[in-house]
Amino acid sequence: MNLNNWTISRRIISGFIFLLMILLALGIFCLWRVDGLRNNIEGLVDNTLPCVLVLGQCDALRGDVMIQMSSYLSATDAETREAIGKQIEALRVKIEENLSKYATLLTDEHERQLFEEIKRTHAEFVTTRRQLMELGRQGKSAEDINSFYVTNLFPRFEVAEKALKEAIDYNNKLGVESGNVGKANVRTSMRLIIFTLTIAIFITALLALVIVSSIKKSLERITASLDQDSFTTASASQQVANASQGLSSGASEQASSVEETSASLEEMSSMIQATAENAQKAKSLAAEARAVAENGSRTMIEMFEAMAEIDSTSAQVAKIVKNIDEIAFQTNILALNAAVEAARAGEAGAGFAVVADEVRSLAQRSAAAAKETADKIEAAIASSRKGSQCTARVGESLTQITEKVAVTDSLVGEIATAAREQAQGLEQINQAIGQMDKVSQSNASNAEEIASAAEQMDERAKMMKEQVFKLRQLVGRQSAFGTEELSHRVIVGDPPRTSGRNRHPATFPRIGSQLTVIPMPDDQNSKDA
Amino acid sequence: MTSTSSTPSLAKAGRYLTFNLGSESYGLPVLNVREIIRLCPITPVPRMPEHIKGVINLRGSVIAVVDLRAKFQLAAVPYGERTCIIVVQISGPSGGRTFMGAIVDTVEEVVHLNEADIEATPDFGGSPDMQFILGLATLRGGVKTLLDIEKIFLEDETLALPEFTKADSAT
Repeated sequence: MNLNNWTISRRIISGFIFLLMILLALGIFCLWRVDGLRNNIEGLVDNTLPCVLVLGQCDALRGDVMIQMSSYLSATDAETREAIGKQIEALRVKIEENLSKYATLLTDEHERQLFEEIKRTHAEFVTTRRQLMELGRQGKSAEDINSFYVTNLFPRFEVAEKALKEAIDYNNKLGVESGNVGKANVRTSMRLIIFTLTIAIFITALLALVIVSSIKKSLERITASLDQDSFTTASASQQVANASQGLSSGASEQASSVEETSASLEEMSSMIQATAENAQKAKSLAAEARAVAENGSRTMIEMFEAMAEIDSTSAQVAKIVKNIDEIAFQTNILALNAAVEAARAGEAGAGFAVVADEVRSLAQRSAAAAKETADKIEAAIASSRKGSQCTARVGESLTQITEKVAVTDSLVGEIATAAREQAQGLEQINQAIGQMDKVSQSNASNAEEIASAAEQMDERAKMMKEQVFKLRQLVGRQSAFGTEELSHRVIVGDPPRTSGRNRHPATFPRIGSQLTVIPMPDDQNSKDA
Repeated sequence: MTSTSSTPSLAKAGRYLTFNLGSESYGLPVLNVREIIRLCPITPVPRMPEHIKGVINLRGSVIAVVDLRAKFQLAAVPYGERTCIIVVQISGPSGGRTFMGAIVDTVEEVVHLNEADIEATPDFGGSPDMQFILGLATLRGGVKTLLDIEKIFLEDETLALPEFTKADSAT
């Protein structure tokens, strides 16, 4: 059970309940004790004292009876005796009345026995007295009466007195006992009450101390935190004021930035448009280049075929040249044979020999020419083969050019697409810039509102500070922060409000008018607004 | 140029058919030559020496063909398009005339050699193999060995030709 979680009313109520319980217990105890005392006193007043009184009266009356009896005994004439007898009878009645009273006051068995004894002895005494009076009435002598008195009546009187005395003693004893019990009761009650009171006072004081201290502690904590909070609130309001100032200046900066951004966006837009146009041009150029390259490829294939034709034609020419060479060789052999024949013929074959020689030289010339032609043809074939290889390489290059141009074409197409998308994105950015402009304007007005709110907050903080000061006075502590700080803070909180009010209306309409330079879809709307 | 040789040259001035074996040039007296034909299919004859390649049919008459390279113990080369057979006419031991074919690498020409062009065979230290050389002809800066074809073909044994170089010819 944590005392700190209890509410103040619960604490106080529980303390008072505890106090009430102690009070109730004390009251009940006291009542019980007083009741016992009352019993004692009632026993004393209603029983013992009346008993003693009644019995004492009985004793006194019996003493009167004995005095009357002595006067009776000393009396000589009958009339006097009769009068005394009547007085004695009256006393007896009184005694019996007292005895009957006593009978109502009997408390225990012992007393009842004592009462029975008293009654019995009294009856005997009365009977004996009447006998004595009867003796007197009979005219007996004084001597006899005296002797009867001494021998019968007086012992009876003494017995009765003794019984009475016993009862009185017993009642006395009862009274003393009752008084003693009462005194002891009073003493113990006094002690107990003093003890209980002391404890109750101590506990109550302790409880009060605990409750008060706990409440005070809680209140102190709360007031301390309130004090801190009020200070924090004051500084926070100051910060809010500063922040609103910063916000307003930031809003104006933002507005100028928005302006710059819109100008940049315009430039960017034209650049992107130029890019798109250039991309389109590049695309058409790439297509042309592609067509040209394909044309070149086709031409290359034709050239390749032409080369192959040259190759085959060269081979045929080579074959022909070989034939010519063969013919020249055979002619040479024929010429040699002719020369041999001419030599055999001797002088007759001299002319023939000359012809053979000429033929041979012609054959040799044609062989040389054929050889030369063969060399040329061979060189031509080699050149044509080289040309074919070059053509093949050029063809490969052209194919690569075609591929590259195709790639370039697609890339340029992508660039054009990207430029279009960029233009769309730019449009969206323009819209966003328009929204940003609105937001910055609303930011400015909000900053103004925040400034006035901060001022109100500062005032509230000051009031709260005063309330906390009063509360602390109630609790019994001084404020941790001086009151002069409050006034200082109020002064510090002022500047953003005035600057915010003066500056914003001057700056923002200008920005709004300049923003219309940016082409925006909601341009018409903003103009209308 | 005058001959300084002790032995008079066997060669006479006249027409000679020149041909090549490898890089060397040789000459034959044109009167020994019957005709020149291109290489034609040769029918091998069994149990013949290495240098006798076989026989050919020359317009109805069968003649033996000798490979001069093999005859002169030169390295054999495959026959080419310019390879020719020179049909020579030899006076046999019995006095009759026989034709024989000589396979040469190429046939050059028929030249007329003067006396001044021909020199006697130099002395190689009394080698008997020099009999079939008629002489050496200097023609256009080169040396041609003039062969006695009859002796060559009549020889049974393998003939080895001495090496002639251009340096030798300078002496």
